[in-house]
Amino acid sequence: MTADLTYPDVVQLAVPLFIAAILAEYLWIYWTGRGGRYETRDAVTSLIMGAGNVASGIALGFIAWGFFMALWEITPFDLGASLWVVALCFVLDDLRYYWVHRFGHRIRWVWASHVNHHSSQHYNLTTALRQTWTYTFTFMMVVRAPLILVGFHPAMVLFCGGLNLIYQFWIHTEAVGKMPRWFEAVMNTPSHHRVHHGRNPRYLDANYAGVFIVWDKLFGTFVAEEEKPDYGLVQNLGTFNPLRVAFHEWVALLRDVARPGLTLRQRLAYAFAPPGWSHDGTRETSAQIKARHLAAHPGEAGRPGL
Amino acid sequence: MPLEILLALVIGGIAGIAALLHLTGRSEPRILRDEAEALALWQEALPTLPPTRALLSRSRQAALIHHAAGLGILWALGQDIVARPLPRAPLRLRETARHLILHLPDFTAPHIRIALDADERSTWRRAIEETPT
Repeated sequence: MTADLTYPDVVQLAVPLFIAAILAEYLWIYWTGRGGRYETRDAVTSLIMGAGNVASGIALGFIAWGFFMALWEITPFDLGASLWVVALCFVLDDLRYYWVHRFGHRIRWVWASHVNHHSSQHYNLTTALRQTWTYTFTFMMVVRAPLILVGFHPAMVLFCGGLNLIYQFWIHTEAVGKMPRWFEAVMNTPSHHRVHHGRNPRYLDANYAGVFIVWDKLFGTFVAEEEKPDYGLVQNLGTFNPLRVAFHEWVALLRDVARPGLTLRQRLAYAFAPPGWSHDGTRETSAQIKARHLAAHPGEAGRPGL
Repeated sequence: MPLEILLALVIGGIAGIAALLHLTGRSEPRILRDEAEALALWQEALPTLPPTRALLSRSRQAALIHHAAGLGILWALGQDIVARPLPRAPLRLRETARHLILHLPDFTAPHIRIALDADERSTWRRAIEETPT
């Protein structure tokens, strides 16, 4: 039985590694003059967002934990804690990550939490730490429910999630070009993830993978890096204020939902339709941005991502 | 990890990285080359509002953009650029000894602080205030 199973909080343990790697990446850029860009206030905002993410986990983590333990109480299955079970849990939790991440870009309610990770116009290791403070309110913890119901202990699932997050740290860099072909074929890499952070029409809604890029290839969302990505949001933020970064899309969503004169269906669409949806067509979803781009550049028809 | 060690690491790490970046020149604002660059950056940021004319500030950290639907502003946010069309409504403007501050009804860019000389401030102010609402 695995009733009292515990694992270390690997994300907290990795904090010294994060700091050391950021220093190493910056000094590499400073001395070589290549491999990315750093800006003081942008980096500080990203780091504060990372600290806030850890703080929100400490403050609100009990909600997800309580939910997972309630599921663990009712499930008749217990797969144990052997190494192969941990490995299987890691792979399946990465599949869970792919879908949560995809929902994070396709459902505005979840995007409101995830958007801040994309809000920097820079792409360096501090960007990896620009994480949400409001994940709990997306209720995306339900996507983990099947893992627990089939017998993976909640502590193991969270441990694998932590390892997943740590893996993703190193791919937020321009200092690494392409990895060996076999590695690029299977794993998420800096090249694949740069595409994910691009605001170029072709790169929108691509490469949702956490650790294994095979999920994108399997589900049709893979786009290989060709032109240099232009990082950030379709409409970039005009502030470094972490509070505005953390909550801006929630504020916008609530304002839209509360607009006078909308039908219930329109209010629900403002909350749950893809980001950019509007009842009067004054905004653009990623599909509409791609269509407009294609209309202006018909020669690009058929390129992956368009 | 004990909370006090985690806190010390996080606070020390953020402060140390911020100091290193600042002391090695990573706090310098973006400088626009010329009007043509301002127009190109606007086009990139807001492709559905093609620009017609740019008025570059003397500091070259901001530009007032004329586009088919009205006016917009492009300004340096750190080393990057942000662009916003100005709303077709009276804007609250405030002047300091060296800046014009635009208050926008925009949670993601509530106050835009543009470094302008006195003569530029009156030109910009006039252009913004004379835009039809």
